[in-house]
Amino acid sequence: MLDVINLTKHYKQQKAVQGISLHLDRGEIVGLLGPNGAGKSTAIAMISSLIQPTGGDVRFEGENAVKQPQNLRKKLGVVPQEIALYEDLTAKENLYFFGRIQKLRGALLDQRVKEVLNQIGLSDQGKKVVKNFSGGMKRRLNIGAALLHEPEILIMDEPTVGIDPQSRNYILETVKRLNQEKGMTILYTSHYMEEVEFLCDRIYIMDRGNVIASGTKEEIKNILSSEKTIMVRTERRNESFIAALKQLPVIAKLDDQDQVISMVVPKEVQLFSHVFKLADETGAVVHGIEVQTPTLEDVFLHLTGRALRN
Amino acid sequence: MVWSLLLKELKLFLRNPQELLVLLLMPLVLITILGFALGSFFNSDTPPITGKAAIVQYGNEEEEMDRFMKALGESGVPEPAIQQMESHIIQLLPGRMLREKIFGNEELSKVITLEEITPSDLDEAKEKGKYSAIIEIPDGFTEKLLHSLFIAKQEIPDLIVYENEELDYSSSFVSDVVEQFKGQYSLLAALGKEGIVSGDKGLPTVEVKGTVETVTKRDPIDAFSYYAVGMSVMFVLFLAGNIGANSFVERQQHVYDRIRLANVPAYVYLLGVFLSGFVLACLQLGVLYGGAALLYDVHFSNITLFLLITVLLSAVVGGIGVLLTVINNRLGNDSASKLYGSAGVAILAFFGGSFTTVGESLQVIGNLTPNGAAMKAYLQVMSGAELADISPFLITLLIELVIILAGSSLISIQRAVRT
Repeated sequence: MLDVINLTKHYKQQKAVQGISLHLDRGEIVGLLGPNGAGKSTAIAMISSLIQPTGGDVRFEGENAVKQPQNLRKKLGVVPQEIALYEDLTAKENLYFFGRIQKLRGALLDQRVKEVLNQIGLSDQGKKVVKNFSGGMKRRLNIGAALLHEPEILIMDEPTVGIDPQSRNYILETVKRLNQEKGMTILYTSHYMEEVEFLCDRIYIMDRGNVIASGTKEEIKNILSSEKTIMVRTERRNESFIAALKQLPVIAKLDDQDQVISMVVPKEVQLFSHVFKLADETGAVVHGIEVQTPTLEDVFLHLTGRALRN
Repeated sequence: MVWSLLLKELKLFLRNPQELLVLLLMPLVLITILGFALGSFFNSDTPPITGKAAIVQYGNEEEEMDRFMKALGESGVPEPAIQQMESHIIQLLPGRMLREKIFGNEELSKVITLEEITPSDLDEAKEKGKYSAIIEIPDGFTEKLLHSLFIAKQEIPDLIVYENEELDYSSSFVSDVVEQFKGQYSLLAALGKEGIVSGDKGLPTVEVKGTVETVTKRDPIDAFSYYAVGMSVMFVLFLAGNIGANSFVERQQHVYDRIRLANVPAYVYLLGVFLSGFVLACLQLGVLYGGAALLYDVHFSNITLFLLITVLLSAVVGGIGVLLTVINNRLGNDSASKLYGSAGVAILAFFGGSFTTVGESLQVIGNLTPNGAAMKAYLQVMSGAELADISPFLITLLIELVIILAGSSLISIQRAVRT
C-alpha cells in the first residue's frame, strides 16, 4: 500500500534521515520506534508529503507521492506530535473547521463530527473551548481532527506524549479499535516500547537517522534469543560496583539508571554469584535481582548500546 | 474553503480579549485623550494664532478702476461727480483694502502676515501649503464690483479664500477676516454710493459673493475628527501585524500542516488570510468610526466616499497581512510581523500624520503611506470633498495594494520553487 524507498533528508549540518526504507500493508499497524532525535518525525513528515526529501521515494498505491502527493493526502490522516488545534475554538468548532477544509459539508459533516467526538470520547465536551481541556483531552481531539475524512492510512507521531496513564490507555485502545473495526492502516511512532509492543504487528527501529532493525515483534525479540537480561536493584547507586560489573567479559551490554542496573548476557551464563561477590567487594547493597525475558527495550539496548529513553 | 478560513479567523479574533483591547478600545481611548487635550488647538477662536497668508490678484486693480471710471462717465455721471468719486473709490478698491486696511492693520499684522504672490505661483503655493490661507481676487473682480455698486448690477466673480486645513486655526482665522471684510465692504460701498449718486435711482443692493475653500478642500476639522481618523488608520495597521503573526503561529503549531494535507493550495490559504485581514479591518474601522460618531459626533458628509476609502484601506491591510505571512514563512520565524508591529506601524503613523501634521517634505512621504493617503482622503471627505479631490489618494492605495500583492506572490512563488 505504502512503500518508502531509501528516503533521506539532509539539512545544512545534519543528516536527519539517512536512507530509510519501509512498507505498510493494508490493515496493519506498524510501529516506528526510536529515541528522541532518531529522525522519526522527519521521516513521517516526508512520508506525509509535508517536507520534501533530499533523496528517495514514497510510493502510495504504486504512485509517486513525492511528486504527486494529492492522492496520498486524500487518503491520509496525520496526527502530529504537537497539539495542532485552535485553542480558542471549541472542540466542535475545531472539528467543523478541519472537516470543511477536507471538503465535508452539510449533513455529512454534522454526522462525521458527531461520530468522531464519540470515537475519541469527547461527545459531551464538544462545546468546551480547547484551551480549557486537559492534556489528554487535547491529545484525543488532536487525533479526532485527523479522522474526520475517514482516512485509509493514519500516521501518528508520538500521540501519547505528556499525558496521564488513563488518557494514554484510552488513546491506545482507540488506535486498536480504529484498526480492528475500520481496517485502518496505521503507522505509529513512539519511544515507548510498551505502546509499540501493545499495538503493532511489525516494527521498525530507528536510531540516528537509520533503521537499525525491522520485523515482527517476535522476529525482533529473536535478535536476543541467545541472550537474557538481568536486572539488579541496589540500595543506592554505587559507581565502583557498576565499574566492576562492566569489567565482566560475559556482559554484552550494561545500562544503569539510578539504582537499577540492567545487563544483557548470554543465556547460559550464571551471573548471580558474580554479582553478589562484586557487591560484597565494593560495598554495594543488593535489594533485588531478576532475570527478564527480552523486551523491545532490551533489543534497542542491544542494538545501540543505549537505553531508549536516553 | 475561503469562507471557512475567514469564519475561523473571525471567531479567533473575537475570542482574543487582548487583541480586541489593542485594536478597538485603545484607539477610542486615545481619540478621547487627544481630542480633549488638543481640542483647543483645533478651535478657530483660540487666541495664540500666527500665520502667513497670501493674496493673489488677477488683472490690474488700477487699470480696472480706470475702465470703471470711463464707463461711469459714459453712463452720464457728471465729470465733477466722477472726480469726487474717484478719491473715494481708490479707498474702496478691494485688493488695496485687504492689503493696507485689513492685513496692514497694526494689530492684525502681528498675527497674520500677508504676502503678495503672482497668479503663476498660486498652484505651487497651494500644493506646498506654506500659507495658512490664500486670498484670490479674480480678473475683473474690481471693475465688475464697482460697476455693480455704482452703475448697474452684474455678475461678480467669486472672491476665493483657500484655507490650509492642516493649519486649521490660523487658516480659518484668515477666512473669518475675509468674510468680515466682504460684509463690511458691501456696507461701505453702499454708504459711499449714497453720497455720490443722486436722483431717483435709489440705493443699489449688491452681494459680494465669495467662497471659502481649504487648499485641498473645505470645512474645518475639529480635534476629535482629526484623531478619530488618525487613530483609526494607525490602529488598523496593527491588525495586519496580528494577521501575519497568527498565520505564523498556525504554522508553528502545525495547524497549517493539516490545511496542506487537506490539499488546500497555498494561494487559497493566502486568499483566506487576505480576506480575513480585509473583513476584520472593515469591521475595526466600522467600530472605531461608529464609536467616534456616537461619542464625539464625528461624521462624514459623503458615506459612499467614506466606504470607498475604508474598503481600499482594508484591502491594503489584508495585503500587508499576506505579505507578512509570506515573509515570516520565508524567514522561518515571526520577526517580520514583530518588526512591523513594533517599529513599522509607528513609522507609518508618524509620516502619515496620525498624531500631528508633519512638515511639507515629510508630508510628501506621508501621503505615500497607506495610512497617510487614507487619512488625507478621510479628512477631505469630512471637509466636503468630492471623489475627484480624493482620487489621488485612492489611486495611491490601489497601487500599494497591487504592489503588496504582487510582492507577496513573488515571494510565495520563489519559496515554492526553492522547496
